[in-house]
Amino acid sequence: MKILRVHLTHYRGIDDLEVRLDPVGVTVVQGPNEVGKSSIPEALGLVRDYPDSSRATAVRAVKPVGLDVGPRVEVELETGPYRLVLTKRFLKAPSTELRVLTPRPEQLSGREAHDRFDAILTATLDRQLWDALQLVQGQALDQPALARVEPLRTALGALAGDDDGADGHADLLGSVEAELQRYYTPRALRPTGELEAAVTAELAARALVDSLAAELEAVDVQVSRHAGLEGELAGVAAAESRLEVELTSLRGRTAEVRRLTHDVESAEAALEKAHLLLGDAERVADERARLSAEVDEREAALDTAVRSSTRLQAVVDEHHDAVATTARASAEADAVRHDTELAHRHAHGLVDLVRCEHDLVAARERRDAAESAQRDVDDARRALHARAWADGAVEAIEAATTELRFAEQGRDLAVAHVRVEVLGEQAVTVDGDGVRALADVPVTAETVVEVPGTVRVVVTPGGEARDLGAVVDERRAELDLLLVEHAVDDLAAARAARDAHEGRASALRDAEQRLAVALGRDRRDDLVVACASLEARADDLRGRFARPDVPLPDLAETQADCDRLADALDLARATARSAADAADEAQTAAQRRAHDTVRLLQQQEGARSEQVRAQGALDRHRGICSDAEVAARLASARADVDAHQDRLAASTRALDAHDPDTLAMLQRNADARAPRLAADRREVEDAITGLRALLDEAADRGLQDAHDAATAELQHADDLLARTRARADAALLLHTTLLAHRRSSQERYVRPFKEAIERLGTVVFGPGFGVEVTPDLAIAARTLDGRTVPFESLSGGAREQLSVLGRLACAGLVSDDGGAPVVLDDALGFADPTRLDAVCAVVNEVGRRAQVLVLTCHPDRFRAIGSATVVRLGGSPAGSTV
Amino acid sequence: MVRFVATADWQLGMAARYLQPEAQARYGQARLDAVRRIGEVAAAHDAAFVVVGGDVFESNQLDRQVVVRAFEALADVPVPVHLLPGNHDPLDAASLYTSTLFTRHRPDHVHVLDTAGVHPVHDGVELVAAPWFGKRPLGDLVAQAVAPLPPAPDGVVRVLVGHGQVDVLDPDGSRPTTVALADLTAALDDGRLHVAVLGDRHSTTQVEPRVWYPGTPEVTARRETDPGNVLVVDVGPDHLEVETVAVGRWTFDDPEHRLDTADDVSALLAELRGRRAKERTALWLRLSGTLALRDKIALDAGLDELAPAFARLDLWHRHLDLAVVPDDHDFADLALTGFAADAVLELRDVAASGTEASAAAQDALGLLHRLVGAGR
Repeated sequence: MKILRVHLTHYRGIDDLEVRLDPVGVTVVQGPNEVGKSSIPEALGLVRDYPDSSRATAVRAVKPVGLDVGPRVEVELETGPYRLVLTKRFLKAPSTELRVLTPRPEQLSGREAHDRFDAILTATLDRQLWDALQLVQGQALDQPALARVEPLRTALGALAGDDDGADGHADLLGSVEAELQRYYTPRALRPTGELEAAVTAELAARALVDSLAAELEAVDVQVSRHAGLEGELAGVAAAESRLEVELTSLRGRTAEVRRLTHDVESAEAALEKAHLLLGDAERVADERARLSAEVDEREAALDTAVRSSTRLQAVVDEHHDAVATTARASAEADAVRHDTELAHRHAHGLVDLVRCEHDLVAARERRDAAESAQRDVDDARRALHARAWADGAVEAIEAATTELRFAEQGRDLAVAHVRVEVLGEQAVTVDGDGVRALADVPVTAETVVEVPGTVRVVVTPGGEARDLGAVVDERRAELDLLLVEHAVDDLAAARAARDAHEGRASALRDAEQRLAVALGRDRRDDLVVACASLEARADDLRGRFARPDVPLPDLAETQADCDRLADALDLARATARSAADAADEAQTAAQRRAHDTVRLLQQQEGARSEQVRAQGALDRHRGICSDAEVAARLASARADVDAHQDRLAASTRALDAHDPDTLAMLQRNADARAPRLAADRREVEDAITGLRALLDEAADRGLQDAHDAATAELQHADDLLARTRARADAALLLHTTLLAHRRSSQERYVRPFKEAIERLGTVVFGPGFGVEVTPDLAIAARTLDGRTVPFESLSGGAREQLSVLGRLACAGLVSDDGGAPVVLDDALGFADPTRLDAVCAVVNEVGRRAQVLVLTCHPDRFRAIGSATVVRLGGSPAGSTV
Repeated sequence: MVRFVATADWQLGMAARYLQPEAQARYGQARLDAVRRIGEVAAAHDAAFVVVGGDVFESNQLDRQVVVRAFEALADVPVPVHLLPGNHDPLDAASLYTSTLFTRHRPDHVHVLDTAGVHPVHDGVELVAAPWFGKRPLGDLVAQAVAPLPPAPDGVVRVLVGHGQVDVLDPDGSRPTTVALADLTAALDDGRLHVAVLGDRHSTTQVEPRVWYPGTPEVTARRETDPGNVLVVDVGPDHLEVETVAVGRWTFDDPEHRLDTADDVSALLAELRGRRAKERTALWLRLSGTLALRDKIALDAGLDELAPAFARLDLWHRHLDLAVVPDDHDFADLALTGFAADAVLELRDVAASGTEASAAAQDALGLLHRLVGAGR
C-alpha cells in the first residue's frame, strides 16, 4: 500500500490540512507541535477501522474543538491493483464515499463504500503489517509485533527456501488449540472440560464401587462371623450338656468322699486316745528305767571317785619330792651365778681403767697440739696485719711504669734531639749539666748548651715537643704517686713487698690448718674439759680396781679376761634361771595336785550322797507298781495303738483313692462353669441377634444391586475416560507436534530477518554489530564488538534505534509484495548526532524501495536523509494546505 | 423312569455392566423371561419337575424385589421347581432363601434343597442335594453328600444336584470345593446315583454321559461357548437320555475380522448392519490388519453409527491388532504445506512404528484429518 494523499478537515484542531506523499521514497513532514503531523497516521487508522457511524472513543476524540461539524478525512491510496480515494466524515452528518480509480472505476457510498474499502484492504494489505510499521509517538522504545505479519513471513519463507510461511495454517493451529482446550487448560495443561469431567466421573464411580465393595466385603465378614457364632453357640450347648453329666457324677463322688472322710476322722480320734494311754504307760516305764539307771549310774560314779582319790594321793607324794630336789638345784646355781658376776665386774672395771688411761694420753696430745697451733695462728695474723699490702698495687705500678715508658718513647721519637759531642777540652754543659763526651738530649723544653765563656746555645722546642714533654711529666707524676702510696721506691721494690706479703699469708693458712686438724670437730675448751674429765675418771677407776704397786696390765689381755668372764656369767645366769624355773614348776604342780586331791574328796562325798538318794527314789517307785506290772501295761497300750493305726490307714487309703482335693477342685470348676456357659450363651445369642439385624439391614439395601449399578457406571466412566483421554492425547500430541514444527520453521525464517537487521544495523552501530532474533521475530539481544546485551538492558537510544531498524528491515523485506508505508512519528529523539546520521542513511536506503513517512517537529533531526521530500507544515497550527 | 428339566446358573439379578445402560434393564428382564421359557419347555416335554443346579440368584445381597419378580416368573412354570443354593446364593446367614420375603411368598411348587442328602421329590425319584452353606466351603460338597448314600432302592431313580467345577475341567484344581469326578462316577457306577446335574459352568457341557452341566439359560459372558440351553433328561435305573433345548435369546460374541482395505471395512459394516436382534446382541470386535487413516476413520464412523443399535458394539482392545498407517492419499486433499506437512510426516512415522505411541499418533492424525477436512 502507498499513501498518496491525506486531506483532513475539521479534524481535532485542524481546519484543513492536505499532505501529498511520494509513493516511493522518504517524505519528511516537519512542522511545529500541534500542527497536525500525528493526525495523519491516526486519521488513516480511523478510516480503516471505523465506519462513519461509529461513536467510538477514538472517533469522538478527533471531534473539532468549538465547531459543530464532523471531522472529515480524505485519503488517496494505492494498494494492490487498486488506486482509490476514500472520504469519511464522522460524528456530524456522517458519510462515506469511495472512488476506485483503477483498475476498474467504482463509485460507492455509505456502508457499502466502507465494506468495499475494507474488502480491498483485506485482499491487498496485511493490517498487522500496517500496524507494525508505524512507530507512533510514545512507542519509540517498543518493538513491532511481527510474529503474525503474513507478508513478512511469506517473504522470509521465500528467503528461507520454503514456499509456505512459518506461521501459516493459523486456522489449523487455532482449531487444534480449540480442540486441545476442550481437554486441557491453555498453559498449565491441566485437565479441564470434558477430560476433567471424565476424570472426576471416573474417580467418583470408582470411589462408589470401592465403598460398596467394602460394604459387601463387610457383609461377607458378618456372614462368616454369623456362621462362627452359630458354631460357637452349638459348642456352648454341647458344653452345657457335658457339664450337667459331669455335675451329676461329681455330686455322687463328693458324697462318698464325705463318708470316707468321716471314717478317717473317727479312726484318727481312736488312735489319738490309744496314743494317750500308750503315752501314760511309756512314761511310767520310762521313769522306772530312769530310776534304775540312775541308781546304777550313781554307784558307778561313787566307785570311780574312790579310785581316783587313791591314785591322786600317790601323785601328790611324788610332787612333794620333786619340789625339794629342784629347790636345792636352784640355790646351787644361783651361788655360781653370784660368784661369776663379781669376777666379771672386776675384770670389766680393769678394762675401763686401761681404756681410760689410753684416752687420757690421746686427749692431752690433742689439747697440746691445738694450743701450739693457736699460738702460731696468732703470730702469723699479727705479722700479716703489721705489713699490709693492697691487692693489685703491683699491677697498678706496672701499668703506670709502662705508660711512662710509652710517653717517653713517643716524646723521644717526636722531638728534636741535641747531640752534643765534646771535641776539645772545654767544658760543655747542657742545661747546666756537664757533658763528658757525648750527650743526646731531646728538646722538650728550652735547652741550653753552653761552652761556658765561649758559647751558649739555647734550643727552644716547638709546641708539640712541649706537649709530649708534659705528657711524660704527667705519667711520671702518676707513677711517683703510686710508689709513695705503697711505700716502695720502684716497681722491683713493689714486687718484693708483694712476695713478702704472700709468704706471711701462707704461714697463717698453714697455722690455721694445723689448728683445725688438732681441734677436729671440737673446740679448744672442749679438749681441756675432756682431759680433766678423763683424769678424774682414771683416778676413780684406779682407786677401785688397781693397786698402786702393780702396773696396769695390757689392754688386750684385760679385755680377753673380761670377755671370758662375761661368757661364764651368761652361762651361770642361764643355769640359775633354769633351775629356778624347774623349782617353780615343781612347786606349782605340787600345789595343783593338792587342790585336785581336795576336789576329788569332795566329789567322792557328793557321789555317795547321790547314790543314796537315787536308791531311795527307786525303792519308793517300786513300792507303787512292780516292774512286771509296768511292762504288761506298756505292751497292752502298744497293741491298741497298732490296731487303731491300721484302721486309720485303711480309711485314709479309701479316701485318697477318691482324690478329694482334685474332686473339690473339679467341683468348684464345674460350679463356676455353669454360670459362665450361661453368660457365653447369652453373649453369643446377643451377638447373633445383632449380626442378624445387620444382615437384614444389608439385605434390605440391595447392596449387590447397588454395587452392580456402580460397577456398570464405573465401566462406562472408564470407557468414557479412555475415549476422552485418547482424544485429549491426540489433541495434545497434534498440538505439540505442530508447534514443534512451527518453531523449527520459525527458526529457519529468523535468519533472513536477522541478516536484514544486521545489514542495516552495521551502518548504524558499526561492523561489530549483531542481533539475536526470537522465533517471534523480536530482537532479543544486541551484540556489539563481542559484547551481548539483552534488549531490555540496552539504553533508550539503542532500543529506539533497534526498533526503527526492525521496522525498516521488515519494510525492506516486504516492499516488493504487499508492503505498507513505514511511519516514524517523532522518532529517534534519543539518538546522538552520529547515530542519527547513520539511521538517516538507512532510512534513505530503505526509501529507495518502500514508502517512508517521517513526522517530526525537529527539521534538523532528519536533514541527513539525502533523498527525502520535505513537506513543511505552516507555522499556523491549523488551516494549512501543502 | 422320569423326565425332568435340568438347568442352572440363572444368576437372577445379575447386572451386565458392560452393556449399554438402556440394555442392562432389558437384559435383566431377559433372564426372568428365560425362566418362563423353561416352564414352557417343561410343559412341552411333559417334564415332572425342574431342578436348578445352584446360583439361582446372582447374590444374596440383591434387592429383595428380585425375589418377587423371580416368583412371578416361576408362577408360570407348571411343574415343581427345586432350587439348589450355590456359591452365589449360599444358605448362609444372609441367604435370600431364609429371608422373610422368600419364605412368605414362595409358591407352593417351588422348593429349596436346603439340606445335604436325599430329598424324595416325586414317585420313585430322589434328589441328592449338595447345597452350599457358605461362599467358601472347605471340601467337596458333592462327595460329602454322596459318600453316606446307600444304594438306591429298587425302582427309585436318584439324581444328584450339585454345584461346582469338576476336577477334570477345573484348571485350578487346588480349590477345596472342586468336585472329584471319580467319586461321582463311582456312585453312578455302583447304583447310588443315576445321573448328576451340576451348576457353576455356564456353558452346556457333558462331562461324561451321566454327568452334565446344563449351563446358564441366558448368556452371561462372552467367553461362554454354549450358553442359553436347558437339558431335558429322561432317566431310569437303566436308562438315560439327555436332550439340549435352547431357550436363550441374547448373544454375546467376540468375532474376529481382518481389515486391510476399504472394502474390508465396508464388508464388516455391512455384516454388522445385517445382523438381526441387534438390541439383544453384544459384540466385542477383535480386529486385525492394516488400514489407511481414511479407512480407519470410516470404520470408526461406521461403528459409531451402528453402536446404538446394539446392546454393545465395541472393539476388544486387548485383542486389537489393527495398525493404521496413513498414506499419501490421506492428506493429499488437505493441502497441508510447510510445518504442518512436516508434522504430518512425523506423526505418520510414529503411527506406523508399532510402538506404544502409535495409537496416539493415529488418533492425532485422525483429529488433524477431521479438523482440516471440516474447514473445507
